[in-house]
Amino acid sequence: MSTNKLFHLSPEVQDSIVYLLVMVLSGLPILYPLGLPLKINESTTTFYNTLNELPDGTVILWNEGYMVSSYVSGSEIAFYRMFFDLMRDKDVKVIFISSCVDGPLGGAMIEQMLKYGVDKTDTTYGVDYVNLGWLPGFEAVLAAIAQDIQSVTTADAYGTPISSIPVMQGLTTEDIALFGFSCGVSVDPWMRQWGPLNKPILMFGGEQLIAQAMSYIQAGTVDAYLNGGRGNAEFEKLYGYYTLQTATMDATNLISVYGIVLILLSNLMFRKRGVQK
Amino acid sequence: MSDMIGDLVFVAIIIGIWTIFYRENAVYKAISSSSVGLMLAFWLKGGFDTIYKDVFKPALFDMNLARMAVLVLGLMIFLRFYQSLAFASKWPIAILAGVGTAIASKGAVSAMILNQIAAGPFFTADILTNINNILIWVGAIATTVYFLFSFERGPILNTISRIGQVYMMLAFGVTFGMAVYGSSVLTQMNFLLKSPGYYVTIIAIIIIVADIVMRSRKQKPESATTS
Repeated sequence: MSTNKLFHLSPEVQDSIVYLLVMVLSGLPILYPLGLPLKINESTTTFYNTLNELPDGTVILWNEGYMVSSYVSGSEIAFYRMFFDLMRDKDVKVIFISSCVDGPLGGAMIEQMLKYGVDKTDTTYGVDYVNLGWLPGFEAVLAAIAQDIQSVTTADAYGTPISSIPVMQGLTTEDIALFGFSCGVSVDPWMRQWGPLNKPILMFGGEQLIAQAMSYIQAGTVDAYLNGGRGNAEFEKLYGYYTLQTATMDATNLISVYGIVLILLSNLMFRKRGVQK
Repeated sequence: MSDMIGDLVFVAIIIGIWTIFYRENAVYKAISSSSVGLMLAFWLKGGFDTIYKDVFKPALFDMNLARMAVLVLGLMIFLRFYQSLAFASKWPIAILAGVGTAIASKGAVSAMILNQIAAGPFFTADILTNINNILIWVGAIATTVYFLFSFERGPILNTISRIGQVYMMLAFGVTFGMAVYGSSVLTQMNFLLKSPGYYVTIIAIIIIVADIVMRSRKQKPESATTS
């Protein structure tokens, strides 16, 4: 047991110090932002420009794959707000839908965003946007969207038949000019179902997903992506609306450095003990 | 006022869950069990709402034949509770598996194979892209080699396998680190350290410190007795 002691501290106390430092390093920059510089990635710019350059009257579809818990981090607020700017300025129509594998929480995320996250001034529900809510089936829902948007559901999230919702009347999948999705799991289902449509696809995914999505990005199946919190912070900088995502970037950077230092230290200690033995 | 109470409860829940870093305790157990229960309730409510909206209503009130078929297939799953008809409960599951596989296979060829082949040349004018491509190839091959267990590895394969191991360590580390700190921990800090959340944080720290002091006082006489 004594071999595990470092500076006369027991392993339990060492663990607690590691966690305590994480809390201090992640908490301080949120209270006192360091304002570390943020270089905007090319894909974030493409994501922003793709939305910004949409022709007037375009119909877009956003598939929500994140849970409502991510609302508190403001993870999608900026581009949801931009959707509503596009509705006002360019008469863009937006269809919100969730086929989130995490269940109805994906629908709750859309609800939360529409209730508190965006500025709905001068936009009308049913005319400018519609919320089809959460639908079970994940890839089956994506396939139905790709096949015929009218077959996806019979009513919106609030029970209104889609036949009586103006934006849905006569709408076909072919009319949808841009597809977008956020996801926290595999990107493959979206690629399999929406890739063959040959329409622009935007993606927002957690940092851990970008490596998986990279092959589709390089193949051109995905036009642009936002790389997790970092991507969001970059998008917020371009859009000029700041949420907690920007504030947490400093903390993320500090924690990353701390993580690297921990890995190096623990490996050095391990090596040192090996040599001593 | 309701917002403030909501924030305080939110912070209390975060700290309650985080107390597991200190030690196993009743508050942690109560909150984690409640969250599982609430999540399940939310799932059930969402599931029932969707079944009512997209299956029951169109099938029973609008006489939509397709939805009626879905309803019948769904109900057939419950036949497993009747021994004489249990065999029929496998049919809807078979349909589900068949449709699922067919749907997944449909776009797989174009998106996952053809588009990948047509992705472009291995070497481009951009040096960074070339380095990236080389790293991807090395990583893919080395990681695959790591999982070759069918024959004894020589020194070369062992070295390649070690490279694969490093790649996986990096990938898993980044995945875990970004998943945990990218969104959860950092954003929760915002609530913990800002008003009104810090009141709860201060109270929690006082409770934990008091517990540490009390436990250490209890332990001292015990250790004195044993020695």
